[in-house]
Amino acid sequence: MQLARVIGTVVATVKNESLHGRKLLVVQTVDRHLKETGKPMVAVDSVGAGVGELVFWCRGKEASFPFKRDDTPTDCTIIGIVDSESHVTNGK
Amino acid sequence: MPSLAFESLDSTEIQTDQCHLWILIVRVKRRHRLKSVLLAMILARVVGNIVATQKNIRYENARVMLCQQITPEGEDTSYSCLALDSVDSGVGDTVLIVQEGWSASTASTGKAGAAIDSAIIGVVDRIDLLMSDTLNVR
Repeated sequence: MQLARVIGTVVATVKNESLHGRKLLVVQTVDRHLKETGKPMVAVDSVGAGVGELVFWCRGKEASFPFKRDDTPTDCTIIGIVDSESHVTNGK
Repeated sequence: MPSLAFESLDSTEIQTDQCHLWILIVRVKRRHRLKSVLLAMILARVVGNIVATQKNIRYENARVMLCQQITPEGEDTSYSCLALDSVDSGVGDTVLIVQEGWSASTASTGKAGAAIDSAIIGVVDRIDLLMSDTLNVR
């Protein structure tokens, strides 16, 4: 699980049936100092996140657990929204 | 299967089947090294926590800790991650993080099947290492 900032949305009309109604967001992973690290990724949303919010995501097989787990094709899912940047305590 | 002693590896008397075994071990180790960034248990230092009101319902009462991976010598690496706490760790603790879904979910929520990929499963008291010059001799 890692912190990330939502930087955009993806619109895909034709997609796997089990992804219908799911929101696809572009997330940029950030490190513990909230600096950008790595490349942006597309993540499926399970908590109702929006652009600009600080979220955390889960990778791998576990990413499909918030949905119908055996037939939702995802390997990166947003599973929580950080309340605000000041709610990330860092070494204090 | 014959057990391989490390001292015998440089000697010229290694049997061919032992040679094959050694090559196999090296290959397995290499494969594990490639995956180790994501899939191994890692040592980390807890550097903080985050507050998230809106999160997956399966771990409503869990604490999400911000962790910085460290080397066994205690230096920071470039990798930091979030992990659910199952052992009441605190900021500054050196901890053991498991990065596999089933174990992480079972450890921190008591049941498998939660959308978690890493959990803190132990607080490290100390790490005993060989002296570095001893390692070089080997």
